[in-house]
Amino acid sequence: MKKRISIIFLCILILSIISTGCSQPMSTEEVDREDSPYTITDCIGREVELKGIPKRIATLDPFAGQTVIMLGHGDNMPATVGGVKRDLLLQAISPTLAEAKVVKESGAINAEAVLAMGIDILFIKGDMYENTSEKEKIEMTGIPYVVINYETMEEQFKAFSVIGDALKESSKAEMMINYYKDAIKRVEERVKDIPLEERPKLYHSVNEALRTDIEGSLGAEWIGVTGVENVSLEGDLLLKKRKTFTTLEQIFVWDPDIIICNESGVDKFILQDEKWAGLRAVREGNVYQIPIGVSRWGHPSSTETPLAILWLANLLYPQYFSDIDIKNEIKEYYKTFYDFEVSDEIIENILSGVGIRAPK
Amino acid sequence: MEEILKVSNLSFSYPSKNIFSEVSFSLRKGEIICLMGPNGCGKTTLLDNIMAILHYDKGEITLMGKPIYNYKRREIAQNIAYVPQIHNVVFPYTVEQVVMMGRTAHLGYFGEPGPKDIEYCNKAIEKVGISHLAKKPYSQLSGGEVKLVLLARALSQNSPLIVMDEPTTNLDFKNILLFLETIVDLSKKENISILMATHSPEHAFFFQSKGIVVKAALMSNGIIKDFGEPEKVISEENIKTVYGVNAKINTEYTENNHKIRSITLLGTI
Amino acid sequence: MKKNLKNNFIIKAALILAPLVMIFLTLFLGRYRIGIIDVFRVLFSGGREVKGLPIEISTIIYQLRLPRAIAGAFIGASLAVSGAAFQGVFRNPLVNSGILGVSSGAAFGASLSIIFFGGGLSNYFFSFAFGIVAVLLSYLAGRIYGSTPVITLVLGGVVVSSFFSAFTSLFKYIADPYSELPALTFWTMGSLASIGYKQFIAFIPMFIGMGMIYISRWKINVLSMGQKEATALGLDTKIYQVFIIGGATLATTSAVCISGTIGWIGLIIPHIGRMLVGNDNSKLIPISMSLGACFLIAMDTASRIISSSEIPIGILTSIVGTPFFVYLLKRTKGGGWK
Repeated sequence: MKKRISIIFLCILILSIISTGCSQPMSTEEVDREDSPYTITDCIGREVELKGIPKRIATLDPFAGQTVIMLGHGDNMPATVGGVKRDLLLQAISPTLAEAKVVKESGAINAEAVLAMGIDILFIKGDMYENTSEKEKIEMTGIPYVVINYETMEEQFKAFSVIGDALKESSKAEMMINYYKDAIKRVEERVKDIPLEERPKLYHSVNEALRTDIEGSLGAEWIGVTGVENVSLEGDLLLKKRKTFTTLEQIFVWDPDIIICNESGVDKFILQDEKWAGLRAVREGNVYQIPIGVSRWGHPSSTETPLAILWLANLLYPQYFSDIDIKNEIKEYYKTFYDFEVSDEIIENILSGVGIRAPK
Repeated sequence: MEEILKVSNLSFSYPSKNIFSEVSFSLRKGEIICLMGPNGCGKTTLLDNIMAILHYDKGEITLMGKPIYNYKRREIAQNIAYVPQIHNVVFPYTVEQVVMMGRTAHLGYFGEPGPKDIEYCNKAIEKVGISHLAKKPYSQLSGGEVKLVLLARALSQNSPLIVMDEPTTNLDFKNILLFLETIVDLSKKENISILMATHSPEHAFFFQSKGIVVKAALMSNGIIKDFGEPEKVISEENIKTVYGVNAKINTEYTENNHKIRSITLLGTI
Repeated sequence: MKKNLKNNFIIKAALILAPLVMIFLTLFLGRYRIGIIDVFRVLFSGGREVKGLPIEISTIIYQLRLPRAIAGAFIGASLAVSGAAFQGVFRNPLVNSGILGVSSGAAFGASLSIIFFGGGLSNYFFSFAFGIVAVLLSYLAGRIYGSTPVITLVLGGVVVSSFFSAFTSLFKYIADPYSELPALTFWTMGSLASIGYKQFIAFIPMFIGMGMIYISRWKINVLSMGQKEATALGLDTKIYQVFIIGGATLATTSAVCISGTIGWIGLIIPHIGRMLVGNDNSKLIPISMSLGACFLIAMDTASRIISSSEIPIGILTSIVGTPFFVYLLKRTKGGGWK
């Protein structure tokens, strides 16, 4: 009850700010149909009232940043986060990204900059909403904000659809969700028939060599689609600031058949470091870089998880997925969703994870 | 008699304050000098200059006939030992370990005490009569016992001169006498010279009554007001001008007919 | 007399042997089960492949367990002996290299080196330089009030420590999250996990630093009597202070260079040593080295076998160290202390 009252109060507050703040420049000419107000529901069930299709978007989150560009609104995004701005492929797709301002550093929003830029919608992640002081700062600006979450595949579908609704691009977002679901289905259907003994044991390095997945993480979920045994899920790993680390000796105990790494360069480190040298997967050369496109594929903040699933299935069971040409899949994906032709050189960069993200 | 220490026309000042000037006296072998004077008159600073911990501006100090600046740090310590007024116990070393530190001046740069040093140390402990405490942490001893430990440390230094800065502060009658008697004993048997800052004129009289050559130096306002025989220096007149106190000097006789003086304080002026 | 000499020899032998035995024992412990006989077979192979044994076993023993144990011994000994030396020289049983700001100064120096000079060997130089700067600043800050140096020195150290930690955090903020940040984070999180034979070069400055303290260990007794008394006892106090503080800082900062900051060892080990052999630094310094080495090896072994994640070693040393410290404070009030 109390919550509802405060939401109503909030809406009134937001509305009044918007109406007073923007009343002057409005022309008396006929109001475009696009500019009529509409309401959407975000990932945590909040209703957000929008005055019209947002023209100045701030994405305080990489997933939203990628999606906004995917949905064709990259030119309307003058503010984002460092990770999105530094991605070379996104820069090529949406050249205006180079001029975008970074308005969030170390989890804190620069509210004054956002106000000065005349932003009309903010996309933020759930954990920012849970941070009371950040939330208060955002609410003080009076700018409508949309909260998204993407820690599971189900949440990712929802996030695509929410962002699609907010930008009135629901059908394109739906396309993306269908592609995602289809990728899962394509893999699950075949993996089902692969005998257990043909499914390898896999170790997933997340950002750092010794950081890995636990049960319930997005990494565990999408890797699970391919039916492999993700070795770290059975360990009693300790959670430290939402990260889980293991030890090298523990990896020796797990003795994985294959190692995949999402961070550029970690595969080379593992292959070259003398401490890792005795590991069977390393000796047999089964250490792979997960491709990096507009994001590190399969990382929670990545919109490219379906590609990660297809890539891994293709890598693990080439004989069962011979019809999937991953290079072709990449080409199609960026053509369909970003309307962008990737050259063979870029495809090589994506697959090797090298030269695709600019340093800070 | 051999002259151990000679201080001539010594002056010292801190940047903002003159502490003493034109101080002169000398100390011979086996002699005791009691350095007296009101609080803050510069006694401790004078002692620090003699041990070359502070560096005087003018004048000269000679030790065994040689200017003190011709000595290295450890050579000074081989000739002058020190018993401090206040000693803060930080680590509870045993009595033996504390006394052993007196051997520092006789060891090399990275040397540790050897069998010969242990011998010196044991002898020093014996001389001040605290052998029964040797293995105890000195933090657990009484104030009087700690003073004796520090005296033993000075003795193990094996130097001809010991400088003491008000060594009987905070001790009760018995411990004061115990300490003074130990000094008398040392002075007689070892022929050690002692320069001792003190607040009690009786100390000088006590040493005198035991047949030791004692001189008194009375310091006031940065100069040596008077220096010489205790009878002459510790006079009712001098006490009045230096301390601003009316006092009476009495002469009494002990059982064995030794003359001993004492002082009765009558009141401030 | 003869019996004494014999006892002395046995004690010395035990002090040297204890860490070696610990290093040897940890080769048998870990998440990966290796039979006792297999460990011996690998050890006697001298690094060559052993027939019938998977190569993993040899990697685990030679690359994972052995370098960690050896480094643990050196680092533990360095931190403990530096702590003992600092306590003696600063006449304060409560200080150690962490409290004096040496560790955070060293971490700051290393971050500076990583950000501006790309890391590498310059880490050692910068962490040593800022370790020294931190001790000096702590000492000077402690002297502002002058009258009770025992307390103000600790206060000065805390202030200087947080000053340098703040700058290290600032560097973390501006560091490149992909190339520089992991290296920086390492400095504030003590761990022996990434130590390999390459890092053994840090043993040279550690050895020199410990050696400097070891040869002047008896003089620490004299220094602990205070500046004035030590001078009167015939010690060139300035020279020895610089020498011993320099040695302790060198040993600590070199340890920090390869393991990051590991707390508590420098404080608790010397005090355990004092309970065992008394306060004489002639005995305290060697036993601190030996105990420090054994303690860190034990903590590190625990940190890697308790769970399949590595438990940060600072947590373990604190869990063991904190109750002990409280106990110690209680003891400091009464008992043998005054």
